[in-house]
Amino acid sequence: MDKKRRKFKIEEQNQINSAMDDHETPVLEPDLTRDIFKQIWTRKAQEREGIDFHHTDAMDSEVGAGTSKKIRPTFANPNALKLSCELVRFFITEAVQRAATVAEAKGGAKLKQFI
Amino acid sequence: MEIDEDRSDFEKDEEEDDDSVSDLLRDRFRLSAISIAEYEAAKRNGMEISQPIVACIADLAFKYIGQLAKDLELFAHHAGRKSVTMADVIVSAHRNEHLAASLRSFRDELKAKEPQCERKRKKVPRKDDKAIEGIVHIPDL
Repeated sequence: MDKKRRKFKIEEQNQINSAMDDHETPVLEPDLTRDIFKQIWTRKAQEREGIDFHHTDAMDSEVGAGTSKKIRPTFANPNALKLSCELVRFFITEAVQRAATVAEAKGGAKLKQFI
Repeated sequence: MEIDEDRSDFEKDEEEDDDSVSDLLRDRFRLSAISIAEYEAAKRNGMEISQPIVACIADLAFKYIGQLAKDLELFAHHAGRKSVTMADVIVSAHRNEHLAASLRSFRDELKAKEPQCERKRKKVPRKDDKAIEGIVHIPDL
């Protein structure tokens, strides 16, 4: 059972690492999205931890060292990461398609101006 | 005074590290965004897309993903969770019905690809999933 679980985990990881979907369309790598989210969420958690530290520090100054609670940063499950990648891909696709529509209307074959 | 100075030096070092990590992530993201943008432009009758435009779109998308991260964290936190789920991602797109519908289809495809044993282990759809399906869309004023 453990071997099956390990095999599934490796296959899942391989899928995550691939930057192309089943139809060979370029997609955003879930690993990269995870790293970007992690950086933002860790920063937020540290800011909250800093705020809590300053609040408790004033209260605990007579007692001794402040007892700030370590705030764990948020994390995303693998499917949520894949869905987020798809959402960002839609954003980029929409931006390009809108620019292309304007370029075609102006009779151009190259996207030079972005509106 | 000295302790405060030390802390501020430490904070400055941390900030610099954070900035360099952010720059590295932005560069990695830009590469992916460029390949997606060029692919989509080529799909449009073989159109070319100039580099400044690609860079502009990549930067906009990077800002968007930053905002998305903050929104997802807020939604998860509002639901009393530490982990962001697919439901949170779909809710983040609720203002655009077509986009939300596309994301739901993608979610259904992902669920269909899951092996049988994982699907059986999962619980019955929770109330918040059902609540998302029944969201009333109020157009922006």
